[in-house]
Amino acid sequence: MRILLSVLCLTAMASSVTADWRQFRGNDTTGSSASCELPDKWSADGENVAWKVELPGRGPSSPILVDGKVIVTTADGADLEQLHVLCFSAADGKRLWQRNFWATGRTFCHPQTTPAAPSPVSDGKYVYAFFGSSDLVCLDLDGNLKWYRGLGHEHPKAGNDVGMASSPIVLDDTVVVQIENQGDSFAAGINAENGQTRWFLPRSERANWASPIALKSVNSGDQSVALLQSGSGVTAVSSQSGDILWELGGGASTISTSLTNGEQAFIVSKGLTVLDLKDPRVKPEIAWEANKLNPSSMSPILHDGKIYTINGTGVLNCGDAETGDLDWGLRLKGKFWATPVIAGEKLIAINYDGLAMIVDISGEKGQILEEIEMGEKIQASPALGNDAMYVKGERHLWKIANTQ
Amino acid sequence: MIRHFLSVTAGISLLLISVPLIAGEADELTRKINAISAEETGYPEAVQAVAALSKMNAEAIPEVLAAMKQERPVAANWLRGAVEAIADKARQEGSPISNDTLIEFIQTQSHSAKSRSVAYHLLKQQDETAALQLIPSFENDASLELRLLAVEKLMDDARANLAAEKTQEAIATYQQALTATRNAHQASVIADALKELEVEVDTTEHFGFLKNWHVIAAFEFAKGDGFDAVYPPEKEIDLAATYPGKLIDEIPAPAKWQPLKLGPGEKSVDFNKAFAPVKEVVGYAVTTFDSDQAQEVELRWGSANATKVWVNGDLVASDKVFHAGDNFDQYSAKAKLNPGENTILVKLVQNEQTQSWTNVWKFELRVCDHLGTAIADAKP
Repeated sequence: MRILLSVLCLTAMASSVTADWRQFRGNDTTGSSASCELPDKWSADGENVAWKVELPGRGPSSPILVDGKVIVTTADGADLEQLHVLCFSAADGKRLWQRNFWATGRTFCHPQTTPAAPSPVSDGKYVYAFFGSSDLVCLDLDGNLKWYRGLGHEHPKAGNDVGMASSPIVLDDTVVVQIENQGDSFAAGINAENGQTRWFLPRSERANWASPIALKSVNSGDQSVALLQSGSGVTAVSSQSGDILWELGGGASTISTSLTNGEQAFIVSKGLTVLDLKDPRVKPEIAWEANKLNPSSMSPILHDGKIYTINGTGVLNCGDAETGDLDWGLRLKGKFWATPVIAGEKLIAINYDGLAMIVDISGEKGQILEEIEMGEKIQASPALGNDAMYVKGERHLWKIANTQ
Repeated sequence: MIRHFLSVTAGISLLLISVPLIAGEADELTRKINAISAEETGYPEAVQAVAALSKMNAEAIPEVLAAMKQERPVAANWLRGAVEAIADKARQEGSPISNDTLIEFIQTQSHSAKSRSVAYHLLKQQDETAALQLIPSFENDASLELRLLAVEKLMDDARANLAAEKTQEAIATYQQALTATRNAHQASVIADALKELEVEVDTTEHFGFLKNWHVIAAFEFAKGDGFDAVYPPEKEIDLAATYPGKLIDEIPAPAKWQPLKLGPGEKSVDFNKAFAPVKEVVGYAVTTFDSDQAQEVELRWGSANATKVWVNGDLVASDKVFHAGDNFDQYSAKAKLNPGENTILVKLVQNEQTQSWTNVWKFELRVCDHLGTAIADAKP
């Protein structure tokens, strides 16, 4: 018994030193990893590519990294009805498992996207993969199905035929999804243990692609509030009951998703509206608003006291997270869908055509250091972990790391 | 220390080894999964059942596959998850399900289309050659997933014939593929290829889009309330009647019915062409469809506008969705047709949006079976 405990302790220690990136923009949703060291440059097929694998199907969803496993979702089939969850070894790119499901809800979407637009999320033990067809699947890290929920089957009018994209979050043993559209429009809290509904909240019948965020408070330690975002504004709800705790009107983005560092909440509203987050269960005060930091379709990211956004014309803006003052702007190239990430002092922005730009953010002004053609369309925000970056393109998944 | 570690590792490995099939056990577990309902009953039991199923050995695969029911798509996904986990472990342990068992399952038409498709993919994973040999037999399969593969193979064969300058064989093979396909993209590619070979194809006819309509406009949008407002065409179909309509310059009042007949290759009932490109209006289209028997059919339609559809006065669908896409078979509804003449009425609502892509005011509609096979109008 003592030996088994020792083995379990060793396993736990091994897990704790493995850097995870369990959701869109990482565990803390800031999109940055100060300790991650990436190579100065790479190429799509050779230099500093630790591995590259082909993906079955496609979709804009971002990869996640859990306990040394890279998990991605894709969709294909005649009507994009085949939903895939794939798991690769972060070490060598070996496909560890693939699970396939049929969409039970609407799969219609714009040619640029597929039902595999929402990013999967993990609590470190299970993966919750959500699809634009409103199918929600829970698998363990070995690919064993725990439960499957056909929210699209239960609500057949749910769907935006441009393509749904809101990513789920998991907090307080609850998976929170936003399914907001002109048909069956709602948010729901799903019991992570068995897939049953904890709460159901009817929502405005308007198209919305933004994702909920968890308002985990540094000050109060509270981890039980989910923030729902829509064109009307934001709504804080209890993750266990769905009870509305507070609302803030004035509108918010229906595409770009807000973020929080546990002390402030950066709401994508009127550009950026920043809230002082003393107690997430109580309506917070507005600290500042900055229209110049409007993030357009990409979501904001946060690093070392600075907030970064890319506006609709492709300008990367850096602002002071305390004041909202604009520090600098840097014009990037091309059109963007993928939210950038920051590794160390490098910001990596990849445009829709697959041009990756490495921006040095250590100085008084951003500077493009390298431009790298990845060779295919890219809409997914990369994942970072253990001095590596996982980039998901239209057809491939890369691990970029120093291979010297 | 190392020996202890190895012992523990072996012990853990033993726990992971597949559980032998006990007669009736898989059946009991699949029943629990098929018992889950849209009202969310049975979920905790199903969670336990799928965990137990996933640990079984390959012998259980046919029984779990056979439990997949076409009409229970959510439960079918639970069972697919279990089957794939079983198959993965069986392959890793060097004791996969036999090819013969899978082939027999695939060829048994009484099994659901979903289960046969999963069996095919399992076979392809472990023996691609054996799987590919089955593809021609899927040409008229009830599984559209499998049929798609057969049509793709026929299209490849036709291209090969063309490359070998066997034009007549290529045409015949393309036509065979067109007859078999129920997929819009495949049909479009085939039609284009046949056109290149100077063979005209009417995909509108192939998919059975209805072509003979009467249309009437314009009624009040009323800031969206017009979608639920009951205008005269919902109370009576009198093609000679006139009604006070919305007063707009582009469409003269009173509103009256006018014929709209689509030509070869056309499928859209386009109100912008029939009347004028206007916003914030409501229109109706009506047609008759003769059925040679009483039958249940699927109406399938596409529109970027909000629609309601009635069959013989019964409302069969209501979709208040504006400009979120315009797709082939975007909406569908089951309907019962009477022998003889049936009336199909469509309400088409155009909203107030001003973006350029919101100027469309049209729909397309067809009558088909559950596979998407066009059902022909029986009118003489």
